[in-house]
Amino acid sequence: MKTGVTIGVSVIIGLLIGAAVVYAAFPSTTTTSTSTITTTVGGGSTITTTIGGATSTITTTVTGAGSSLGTVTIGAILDLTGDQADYGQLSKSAVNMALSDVNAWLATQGSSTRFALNIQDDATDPATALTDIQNMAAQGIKIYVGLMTTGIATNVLSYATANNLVLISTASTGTSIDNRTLGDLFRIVPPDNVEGVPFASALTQAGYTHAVLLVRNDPFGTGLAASFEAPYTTDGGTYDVVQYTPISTGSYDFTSQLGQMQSDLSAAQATYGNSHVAILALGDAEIGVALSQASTFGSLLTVPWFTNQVSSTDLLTTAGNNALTVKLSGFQPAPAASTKYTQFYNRFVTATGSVPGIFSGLAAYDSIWLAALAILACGSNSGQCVQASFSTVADNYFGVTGWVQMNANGDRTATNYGDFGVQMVNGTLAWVPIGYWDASTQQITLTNSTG
Amino acid sequence: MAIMIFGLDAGLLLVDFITTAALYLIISLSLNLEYGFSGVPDFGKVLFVTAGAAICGGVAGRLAVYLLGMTIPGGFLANNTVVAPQITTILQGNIPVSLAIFFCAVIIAAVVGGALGFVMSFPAIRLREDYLAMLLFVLSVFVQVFLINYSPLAGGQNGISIPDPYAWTGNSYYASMVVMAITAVLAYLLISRISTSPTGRVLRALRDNPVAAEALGKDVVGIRRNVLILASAIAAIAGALYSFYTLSFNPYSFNPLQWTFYPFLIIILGGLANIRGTLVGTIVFWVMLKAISIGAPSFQNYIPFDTVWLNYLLPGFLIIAIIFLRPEGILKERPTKTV
Amino acid sequence: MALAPGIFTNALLYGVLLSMMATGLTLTYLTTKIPNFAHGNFVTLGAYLGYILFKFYNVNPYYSIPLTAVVCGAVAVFVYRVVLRPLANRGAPTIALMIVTLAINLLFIGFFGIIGDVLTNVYRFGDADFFLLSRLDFSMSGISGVMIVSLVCLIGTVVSIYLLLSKTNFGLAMTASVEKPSLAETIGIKVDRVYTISWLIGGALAGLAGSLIVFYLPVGPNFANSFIISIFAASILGGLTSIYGAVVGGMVIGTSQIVVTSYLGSILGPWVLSYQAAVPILIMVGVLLFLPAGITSISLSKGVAKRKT
Repeated sequence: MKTGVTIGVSVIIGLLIGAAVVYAAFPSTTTTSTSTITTTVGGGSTITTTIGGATSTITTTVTGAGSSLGTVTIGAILDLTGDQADYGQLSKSAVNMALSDVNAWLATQGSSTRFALNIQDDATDPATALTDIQNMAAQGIKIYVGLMTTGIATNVLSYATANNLVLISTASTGTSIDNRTLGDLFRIVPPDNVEGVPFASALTQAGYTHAVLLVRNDPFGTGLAASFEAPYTTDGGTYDVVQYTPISTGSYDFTSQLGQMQSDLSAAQATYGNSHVAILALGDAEIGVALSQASTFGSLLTVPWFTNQVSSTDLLTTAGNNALTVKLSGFQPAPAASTKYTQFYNRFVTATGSVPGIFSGLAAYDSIWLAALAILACGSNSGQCVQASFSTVADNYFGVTGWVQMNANGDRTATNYGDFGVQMVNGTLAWVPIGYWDASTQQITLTNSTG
Repeated sequence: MAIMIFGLDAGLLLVDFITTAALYLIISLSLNLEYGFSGVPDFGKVLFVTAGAAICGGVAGRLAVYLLGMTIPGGFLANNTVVAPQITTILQGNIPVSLAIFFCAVIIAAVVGGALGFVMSFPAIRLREDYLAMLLFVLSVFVQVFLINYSPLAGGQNGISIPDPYAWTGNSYYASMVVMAITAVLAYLLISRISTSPTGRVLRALRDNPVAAEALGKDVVGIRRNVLILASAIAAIAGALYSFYTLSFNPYSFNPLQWTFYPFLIIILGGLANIRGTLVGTIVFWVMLKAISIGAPSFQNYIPFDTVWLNYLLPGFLIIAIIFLRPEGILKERPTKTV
Repeated sequence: MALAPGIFTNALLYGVLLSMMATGLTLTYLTTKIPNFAHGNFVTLGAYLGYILFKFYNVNPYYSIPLTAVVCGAVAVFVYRVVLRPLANRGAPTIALMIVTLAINLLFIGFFGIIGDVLTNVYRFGDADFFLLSRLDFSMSGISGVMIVSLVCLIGTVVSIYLLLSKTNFGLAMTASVEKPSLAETIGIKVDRVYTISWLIGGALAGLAGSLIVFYLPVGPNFANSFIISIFAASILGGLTSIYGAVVGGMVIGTSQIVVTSYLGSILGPWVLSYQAAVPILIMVGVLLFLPAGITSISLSKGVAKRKT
């Protein structure tokens, strides 16, 4: 046990040196210089990561004989059924792709270590997730990915802490745990306290001085709304909020909410003018139902709608043409442009028929690589070592979501956000990137899209 | 230092199993007291468990803050995810406060549970049994809706984090298991004693023939009321212990399937009005469920659907099979002992 | 404060659909005395059938209504004959039967979940667990098609039931079987057949409601859970033994759930809207505690004889 920690510590020192080199040489993602990070795997072998060249390719090699870790199983607790099933199913495809990629890479490097996956469905329910992790912990699994809501992540966290397990969340963004002390939970998607800001920028820059909000009444929705309201108010905007309770076991009827929104809308339009009011819908796939049911409340369809649920095809299927009518658009953390992302995107679309989004495949893919690299860096499937070295491993990893930089609490730092709109592509409705929001300048740039 | 059997960490598995089985034993015993012995169909069992858990969530953190003399700008509720772990660290060296919050939370939960049982006893006596079942069921749904939307008590839909009252023992999960097991043993002994006592005979008489019992001068209303108060208090204690086990309270975790239906299944499986049967039923049921959830991933690849649906199919089939094939359960109701 | 007109339209639609579901439930209860917690699953079944026929054969769910109703009725008969009737004949107490219907409810949910998984994984239907087909609906002079069709169906149902009960021999047999089953048997009425047919009609009505509901609300495996309380509330409000009461109860519960919540929301603030699920619960609690025989016990009941509680 002690030797493992010692190796881990020396690895971290090695990584830190490598990180310094990288930061010095690498301020942005596209560059013509190359850089090398060397990781010492327990037993004397090294992982070398080279980034650079005009095409921003990343190659990682392992040299030397490393002691094999045998087959290490990573646990994946995903929302395969329930509220976030559409994200969960795509995440499942992504983790499987990542697993075969990792194992193929290890094979080409001559290592006999392999990784395996144990995928469990938590039905988007915190209690089920706890049972899943208990069952998997009993089988010796230490590192877990998925944990796709903040409620799920927090419910299993105390168990993970007590048993030295590491949780790598691929979709938890709730702001309620932003200020936690660094522990066993790492969230590799940026939390919601940033996500509201591009929306505020978008509405303000387009002249919408008043917003009618439809907000999902749970930590996710209310946190997202709060992160929008603050900058929006600072910019001089005003808003109304209508909430709905998420129903995990059944159906959604937005009649009362839509009615209230319609009243709020007409009052706002009377005060601010018809072209200065917009609707912001913050929630999950059920936003599509709200949009569909808005047909009965015609005036709601005469203003633009914004939503955070971009990249959800279920939403488009449900909402139908209403999505076009309201010029639906929104923001989501967007990966930096790179050949790695493009290659993964094409593979994913070919394999699943769906487009990967940050919560629906991209983060999940990276999470497996991060878990594997951390375990390799530690030279053992040790929760304590992985926890101690995760941030460093992540900081040196360029994934399909770009550089995975973590803050002091274990959350991902702000990334750029992509602006997505709805257009008719080959006869079906699809989400199309129409621009991006830059985290450093807080400005939105629209790319001119054709058709 | 884990003992591995069939690739499973036996120690961890045993702790989890004993904790879960003990928890459900407590709830099922209370349900058997209500339904098996007294004939009150408590389809709203989850209500009392949730109430106990919510009280624990609402009380434990705030009490700790008060006893430790902490000042939290913004209040405990708004900062509970950050403050609760801090309190846990302090509690590691502070046994008196740990015990204080533990016992206060559990006792208040029991009192509230008992009070709710008292309230429930009014319709329980007046209503026909199927109406009573429906009433209790919808009330349990209402309580969940209320707790989800009403934040001041226990965080609403955000839930609330709870400081660890077992931190001073050095191994909280083990301590939680021990406490749960001891409570289960106490509940078992208590309800066992009731069932073989004159009160137990009266209960069964009330269940089978209330008119005759009343004619013989038994206080039908009063006895039933006391039983409901006791059973509800016990269920609330179970809820509080569960909250201390997960160190959080979240109203979404308390769904009727796991907290009302499973206990019904257990007492029917084990045998109504049979205390030992409830113990047998709890163990049999949970061994089955655990075996399926651990074994499921290995055959997941061979079936085109998710194994989570087995959690619905299995209890469903089981209940129907039991009621068809052996409605009296594994252990039949014992004939009333005299002397 | 005036409420948006869309609220009343949806409230009416909701009430109409609920009436259909409650009528089916009351029908099965007043004949066989089993409160069927799995009734909502017949609705879900109707919805899934409509969805599947649409995805595979491109049939608009309106056209598959007759088939859906028949299948759901048959499934209801199966549930009654194979599971519930044998237990009832063995003298199982009502509570045990209720627990069995809860178990059937679980089986259905598991079944729908499996179907959904198969459709998602094998056929790649992205919305198999959460589908809404409102885009297939038509509209006539601004009113949505589902509103028109549902209203027509409900009126047709009520008229048909009236004719069935009052003008046919079967209706007579049913009235007799409900009031005095043993006596009915002795004069040659096949009480069992009456009961079976009541489950057939109950299931068919639920399936009909399910076919229509896909145009209005999203459906998933757990759909029944979000409705069963409202259905029971409607039936109980109408008096569990009055068919016309169920229609009235459905309209009241359905419309009040939306209208009352919206109205209170406009006065007290939007936070009230989250408590919408509490409205049918509170109505049901009120009825059970203060007027257990439902509102039809206030006036003379015109439907099938009411049972004293």
